[in-house]
Amino acid sequence: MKIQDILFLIILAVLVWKKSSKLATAAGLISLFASIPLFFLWVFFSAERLTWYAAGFFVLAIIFAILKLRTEK
Amino acid sequence: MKYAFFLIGIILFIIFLPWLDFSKTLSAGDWPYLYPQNIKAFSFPLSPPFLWVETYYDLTAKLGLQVFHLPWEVIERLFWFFPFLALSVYSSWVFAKRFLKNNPFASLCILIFTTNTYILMMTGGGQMGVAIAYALAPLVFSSLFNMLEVAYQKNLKKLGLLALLLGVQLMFDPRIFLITIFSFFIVFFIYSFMQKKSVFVPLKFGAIVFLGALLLNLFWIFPNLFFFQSEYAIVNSAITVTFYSFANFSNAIGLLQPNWPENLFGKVYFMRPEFLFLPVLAFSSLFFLSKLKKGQMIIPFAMLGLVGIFLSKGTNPPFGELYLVFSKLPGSTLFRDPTKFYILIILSYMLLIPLSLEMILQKVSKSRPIFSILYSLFLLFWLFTIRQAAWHQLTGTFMPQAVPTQYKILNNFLEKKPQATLWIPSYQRFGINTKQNPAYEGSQILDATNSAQLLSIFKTPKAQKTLVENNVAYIIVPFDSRHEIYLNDNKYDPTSKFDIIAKLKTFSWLEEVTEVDPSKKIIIFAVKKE
Repeated sequence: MKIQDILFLIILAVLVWKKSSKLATAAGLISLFASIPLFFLWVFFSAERLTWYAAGFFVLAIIFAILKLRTEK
Repeated sequence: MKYAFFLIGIILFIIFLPWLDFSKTLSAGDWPYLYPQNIKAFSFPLSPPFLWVETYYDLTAKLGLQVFHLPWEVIERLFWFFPFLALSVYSSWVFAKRFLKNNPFASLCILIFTTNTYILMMTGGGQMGVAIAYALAPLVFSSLFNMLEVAYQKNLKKLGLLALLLGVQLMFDPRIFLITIFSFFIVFFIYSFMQKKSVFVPLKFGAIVFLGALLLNLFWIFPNLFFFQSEYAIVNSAITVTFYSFANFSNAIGLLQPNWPENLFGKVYFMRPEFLFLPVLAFSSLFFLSKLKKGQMIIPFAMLGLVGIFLSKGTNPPFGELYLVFSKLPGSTLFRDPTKFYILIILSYMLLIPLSLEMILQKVSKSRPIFSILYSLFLLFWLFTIRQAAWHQLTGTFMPQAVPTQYKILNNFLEKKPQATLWIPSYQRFGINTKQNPAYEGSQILDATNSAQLLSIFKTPKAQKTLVENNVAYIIVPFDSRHEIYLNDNKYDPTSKFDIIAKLKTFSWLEEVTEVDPSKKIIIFAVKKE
């Protein structure tokens, strides 16, 4: 496990605790934005991982949104 | 809106302009070139095993040639390339109207669907059966969604039309058909789960429509039933699935086809970071879930995109092992090329991107100039990502070519009598290959898998005897007008051609024929009978 993965898991844990779809979306978008300059600079390993994390955060955002919608109905 | 359509029309015109040169054929990659003799030889019913799309292929070729007296250059466009384009535009617009009512950016659906790197590489590589099935996907998807409405279910005529539509897509490509159905189910189940709606009634009607589509395709399913095992179960191994997993996660999330732009099989490029602005834009829509009435469609489509991203990367990380498990399922060999799942990402982004843009517009200002700026900015960005297509730097069908004169002369020469040819290292698409003049490759008559092996067999006495027995009168070293035969590390390198010629000259039972092609682009050797 790399240092990036540990950071990702910590952020993920915070987001799960917060249960905020918007925060998870923001984390996903920040990961994607951060990967763009890394790909540009050919730092492929970290850049690629950031795209994985982005998808992970988006999945979390979707789960929170579905749960919220189901409880509102 | 008219202004937007005009701009998209111009972009489509620029990108697909090479297809309008009727003096040249689009034959490239998997797309063949057919001479009238080839078309006349087609007979019905087809003898199995044959591909799902072969009936349409043979019928339209015959119709074009024998009824309308058209050359192949027109037939291929009339029945394949132009229908693909027309269907893509129509189908994506139906999808836009269904899911993006009153969205000022809805017309972008057409652009995203018709000019993304995935479909440009697909059509560039000449996989037109897959391309037409792809073109139908948004129409099938929207129609299946319409089926959820009760009024639709009571209308037998509409259900029949839906079965017909599904049947047509199934005939063009069963894999794309299954992926479209799969996409629909992802969206449908998440949508129903969110709405706390029953899935039973729509599923019942869905099954009826699905059965209808299958029945319409019995004309190719039934004759091929006993051939499926031998024809399609050849490559169901982990090695094959791993080999075909060209896209990595970043390619998939960026909607970047891994072989873009050269479209060389197996040649994968570094990630182009500009493509990552697409998922940024698409998944920004998750911010606006509560703001839009149609916000509830964002969740299922965002999930559809994420599932598509995960499947499109195949066995590549993260969790590539799951795709290996999937590859063990019966029938999964049809999906050995995971990039087919890009369709899920495309369907997702073509809804999410216009929704995000609409929300940004509402946040900034609803004024017309701001809309025009946003719309133009996206068009410019999109054009930048596919700039190689806009500048006509793509190869394959986007670089049409007239049949070289050398091949016309060769074919006229060969057609004079029934005689076969052996092509080294391989057959070239413009050579004649008919019942009267079959064109063989080394593997067909001498069990040689490559030219080096073939040339070593030539040293044995059986070579000349086998060739004469198979009525092979000439050995041909082709002119590689498409730069697809003499390749070294994916680049055209004719050195191997010169090596083959030099070796062939050493065999006493071969005699070079120079009068057919004085330009010496095609090298011909006559096989001595004794």
